[in-house]
Amino acid sequence: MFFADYNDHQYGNWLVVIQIFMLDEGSGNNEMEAIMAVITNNDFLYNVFGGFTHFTWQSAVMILIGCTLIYLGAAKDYEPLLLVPIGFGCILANLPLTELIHVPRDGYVFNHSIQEALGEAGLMPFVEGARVVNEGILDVLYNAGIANELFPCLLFIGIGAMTDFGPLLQNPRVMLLGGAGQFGIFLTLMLALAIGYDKLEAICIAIIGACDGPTSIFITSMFNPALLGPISVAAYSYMSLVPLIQPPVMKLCTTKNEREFVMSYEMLTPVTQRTKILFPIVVTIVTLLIAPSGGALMGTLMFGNFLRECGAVGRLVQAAENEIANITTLFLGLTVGATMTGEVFLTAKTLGIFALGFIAICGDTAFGVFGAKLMNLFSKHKINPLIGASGISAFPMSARVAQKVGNEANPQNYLLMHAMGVNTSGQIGSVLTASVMIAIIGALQTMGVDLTIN
Amino acid sequence: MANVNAPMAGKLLSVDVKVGDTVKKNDPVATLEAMKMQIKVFAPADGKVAEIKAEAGANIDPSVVIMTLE
Amino acid sequence: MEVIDNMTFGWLLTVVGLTMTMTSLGVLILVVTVLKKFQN
Repeated sequence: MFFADYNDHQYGNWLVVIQIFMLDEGSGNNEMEAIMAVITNNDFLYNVFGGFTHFTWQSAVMILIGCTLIYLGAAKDYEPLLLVPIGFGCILANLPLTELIHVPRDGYVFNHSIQEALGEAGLMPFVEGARVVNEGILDVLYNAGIANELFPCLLFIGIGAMTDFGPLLQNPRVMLLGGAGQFGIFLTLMLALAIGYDKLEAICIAIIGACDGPTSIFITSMFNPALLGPISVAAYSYMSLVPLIQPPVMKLCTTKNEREFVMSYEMLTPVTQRTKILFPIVVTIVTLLIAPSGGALMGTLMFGNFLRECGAVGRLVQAAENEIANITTLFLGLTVGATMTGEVFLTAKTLGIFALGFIAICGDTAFGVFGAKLMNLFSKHKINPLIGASGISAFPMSARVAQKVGNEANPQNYLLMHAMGVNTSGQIGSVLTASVMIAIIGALQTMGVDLTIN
Repeated sequence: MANVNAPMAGKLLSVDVKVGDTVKKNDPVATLEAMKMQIKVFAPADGKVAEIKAEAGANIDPSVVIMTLE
Repeated sequence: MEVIDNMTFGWLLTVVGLTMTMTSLGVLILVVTVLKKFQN
């Protein structure tokens, strides 16, 4: 919109300047007048103070939102590692004319030399109405890691390297709860479709229920990059709010008696290092045979974990869980934040996404708790249903919540390690669900089913 | 006579009672750190602290007795 | 291009997705249990 007039005005000005100097040639002492004529020209003022004149109410609101995110991250400690870069990226992208990033992507063609040649031949841009622009620095980051889903996967190597699947391996059947925790995703999918979101939009919204930032970003950049801003902000905000959102839902779904149930640690059988080493390899092979398209997510997660457990590559583990994870988080946050321009973000859709994301996480919690109750019906080793709520990917917040709620109900109840097992299975579960979804959509697309957004 | 075992594997941060202290069931008696979370260990029964067997800073697991009550 | 209804799409994804997820997790539990049998 306003970018286009900016350019027109710019050319207009040059013409004005050239004309004035041509007229004044020879008269010499009229130079001042000529300069005055230029600087009092409306077009000139309009463009020289472009930062102000192109400032819209959307920019103002978005900058305010950016500041709020920074405040929540920096002052209130809600996921600061992500919300701070996201907030700053949002401010950068919404200051007019900075040309750091160009979203939505469909409207732009990037100006590389080959395209320049095509342009001169009158063959550019390919997309009708698209404007040829130079890449801004955030465009470079976007193309390097978001458009091709690289950053979330790099992050997964770090997450894998940080995760200890020990508690899960000690009691492998709780892995079912990591699956039950994903039911919320499908509940949200149905809700989103029912209230009129398009198919691929609904999938991106539903995946917020995985409570897993990188997975949400991966799926969204794959299926509907226009929603990246709202979805990643919703995902990360709700992740940081897990300690507030989950307890009421957990209490609502259980009786005091159920919450008091003490789980001993005797039912956990110890595992050897060999099992821990073999686990990531086995998971990779089994899950990727079932859902090959999840290779990028599951492959990187399990690769990171294998690095950790094999014990031979301490330096690589260090790099994965510190340097790689930190650098990726920084670039990912900044770039995702920069996709939040007013045009894209300030819509009713965004509000819907936040509402549905909330339902998704409450749904996950409730389904997890009921999943645990269901398991109790069929097994002789009873479990405390509270740990079912940890079957989401928000690690380790969710396990801590289970420990806290259980401990409040009965001080003799220490659920933390049990909940950790469920929590790590929630990580596997959410990646698995995402992989399966990609597989199904891929299958539909090869069948020639129309999934395009209207 | 009751043993207070570590509820889970972790690091014992501090023992919050002394030998001879009287404790009631569900009083906090020690602090444990597991998975970067601080967890209070609560007395399993009423009694008097007879002996403290674990030191702060030690890595403990459910087989370790932190203290005995009588 | 074949067109399918939004809700049909949703149910399809839910039923197939959940079945595949839970099956994979079930297989994983079996495999881990077997692994643990051989660990000593």
